[in-house]
Order: sequence, then structure tokens, then C-alpha cells
Amino acid sequence: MTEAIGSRLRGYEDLPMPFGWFAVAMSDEIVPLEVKSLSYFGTEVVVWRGESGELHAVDPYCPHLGAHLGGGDVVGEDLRCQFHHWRFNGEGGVTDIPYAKMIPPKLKRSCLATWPIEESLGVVYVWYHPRKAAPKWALASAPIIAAEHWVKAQEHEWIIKTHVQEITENGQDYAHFRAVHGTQGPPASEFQLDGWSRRNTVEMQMVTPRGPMSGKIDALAVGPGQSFTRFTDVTDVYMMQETTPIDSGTTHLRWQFYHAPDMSDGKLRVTAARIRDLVKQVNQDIPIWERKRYNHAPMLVDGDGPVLAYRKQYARFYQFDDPEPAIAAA
Amino acid sequence: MELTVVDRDGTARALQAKSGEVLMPLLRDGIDVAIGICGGVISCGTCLVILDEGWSGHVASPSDDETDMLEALDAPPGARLACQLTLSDAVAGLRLTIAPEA
Repeated sequence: MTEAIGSRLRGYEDLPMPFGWFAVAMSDEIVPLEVKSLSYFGTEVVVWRGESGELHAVDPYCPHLGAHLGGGDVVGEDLRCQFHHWRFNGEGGVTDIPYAKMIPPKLKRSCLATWPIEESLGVVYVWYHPRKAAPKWALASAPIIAAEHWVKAQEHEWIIKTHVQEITENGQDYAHFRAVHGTQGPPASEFQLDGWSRRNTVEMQMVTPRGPMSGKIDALAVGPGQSFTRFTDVTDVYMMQETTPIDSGTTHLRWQFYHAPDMSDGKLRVTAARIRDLVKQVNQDIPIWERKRYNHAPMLVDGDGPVLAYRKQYARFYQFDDPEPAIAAA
Repeated sequence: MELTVVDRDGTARALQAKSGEVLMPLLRDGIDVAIGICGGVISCGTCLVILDEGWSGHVASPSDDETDMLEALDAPPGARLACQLTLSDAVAGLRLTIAPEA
């Protein structure tokens, strides 16, 4: 592959949007009986919450005469189009046409494309695949948070002018830590690829006022849209990260931070400082991401991280005709 | 070939057709514009016709979608959706009745 020519081309022309589970909203942004039109993946997803609380997601245009379903309303569990009051259920089937003598059986079954949609820990996810292939792995979650009653500390989000692949590549780029953030890069990092997931674990000795202590960073990325990172040292912080393509050059980044329960005030202050530092670091990264180019053949040297191993795994998320249909546990 | 179509007033009319043509557009353009509202995708049921006895075996059997629609319309024996009938020389002389509006 050749590098992009001309300063306005940033190499994304050859990078489509990967398939996977992606965050599209926070759960509390869609209350029961509400319809939202969410702009992601170069298209829109119309999502509604029925009176039962269950979420449903469909393509944006009514198959009848093309009205945008984001302008509809919720009746019971169904979405009602504003144009002719056709009603649809979560399977994309028509449940009512107020003026027709009967609902054609074919339309009753399904005539509107749907999206797999799930919620976990206050985040709403859909499965994106440009060919509408069924999910290839189960949505990942962080069971420790509910099991050990971890406490949500903060939420952050950014809309960034870069391709979704670039944001998670940053973690594999060890040499930038010192230059951009003034910190040590991961000294002894372990990098494992396993099916659809990728694990980076780092253990290090840190100098603290109370003497040396060992710290650990354990990051698990499942698919291109979800990562879970636990920082264990003086404090114990859990970060959920979701990266979602809005289009091939724009990405929505969301973070939710949790900390272990029953922390002392001192540890809570350390926790707040840790979060502040991570937020500061991403704010240092963003201006670089927004102007950089994606080099298909980067000139890497000794001391750079496993960028190419990361890319090799990531390439799986672009294999749109991959016949592997099975849901595999993440 | 020539077909005989009995319209909703009970009037029998001759209809010229060629082998390979689909019946629904001939009825829509020659008899009544309210026939075939959906354009032939089995979602409206407005092109329901009843073939005279003995003719059903001269046309291809209905698909699952058409069978479901015929059931939903409570259609009588010999009924078909004209949008699903491609004419062949085997139906020269066919006589059919346009079903009354549901």
C-alpha cells in the first residue's frame, strides 16, 4: 500500500470502518418512550426505548414512503412513523397500518433492517457490520464492577477528527509516552492477542514517598470498540473506554472511571489525580491525532512498540466477507 | 393471445397479451389503475384475480409469500395475485375475474 500523497489526504481512504460492538449512547440518554437518531458509521441508527424499558434499533428510513423514523414516536413497545402512522416492532415488522384493511404477512415478519443493540454498565452498544452480518463475538463487560460494588467516579467524552483505529494504536506506540506526556513508556509490557481481543499488561516499580512499590496496568481490548483498563498501585482505578466511528475520519471517544469501594479520603484524592492525569494525557494526544497521517508503512525502529502486531490483528475487523459466523465468547 | 377478463361490474372484456408478460400491469393499464398499488412486491393484495376452474394448473404455483398473502386475504380457490402470474402460451384463452374489493 502506498502512502497518501498530498497534505490533505490522511491515509484513511484505504481504511474502512471496522465491524464490532460500538457504544452509541449512554443509557440515561434514552428514557422510556423516547426516540433518538444517532449519527454513527457514516449513517444513522434510530433507537427507541419501549415502555418495558427495552431498547430497539432500526435503519433510519421508513420502507413505506421514506420518512425519517427519528421523527416518530413510541406507542407501547413499538415505533410509530410520523408520516402515515405505520408502527414497527423491534424486529422491524409492521404491527399496524391504520388505514389498510390488513397488514401484508411479508411486512408483518420484517421489512425494516434492525441493529443488534445491548446495554452494559450504563452504556448502549450496537453491533455494526457493513454487510449486516450477525455479531461474531458477545458484547464484553466488566463483571468486577457489579460483583465488587465498584463506584463510578467520572465520565468523559471527546469527538476527535481521526480514524477509530488510530486511538487504540496509540497505546501500542511506546515511544510517544516520553515525548508527548513526559512519562516513562511501559517498561516491560506483555502483549497478547487472543481471537478478537488484545491484552496489554505492564508491571513496574514506582518510586513513592513511602518507598518503592509495584504497580500494574492491565488493559483488555475486545474488538475495535471496547477496552477495559485497570490501574492498580496506591489506588485501584478501572477505566472503560469506548471508541466509535462517526465516519471514517471522525471518532467518538468515551471514558467511564470506577474505583474500588471503601477507599480512604487519601486514596480518593490519588484516584482523582490519576484520572486527571489520564485526561490530561489524552488532551495532549488529540491535537496530534487530529493532524497526523496514517502511514501504511511506518518507519519503525528499535524501541517502538508492537504497532504492526496491533495492526495485523486489527485487520481482521475489516474482513467483511469473513465467513466465520459463530458467536465466540470474547 | 387473447384473455377474457371479467371486471368488477361483471362486464367481460377481451385483453390482448403476449407470452412472457406479467398479468398485473395489463390489468392496471387496461382495466383499473387501483390494481397493483404496490407495484408487484406482494404487499397490497389489490391485484387479486380468480382464474376460471381448470386454469390453475396452467400457471406456476404460488411462492410462500404469495400463499401467505392469499391466506391473509381469505382468497377463494383459484385465486392468484396477478403480479405473480407470468403469461405463457399455455394460458391462451384464459378467463379470469377481478376479485371484488376487500
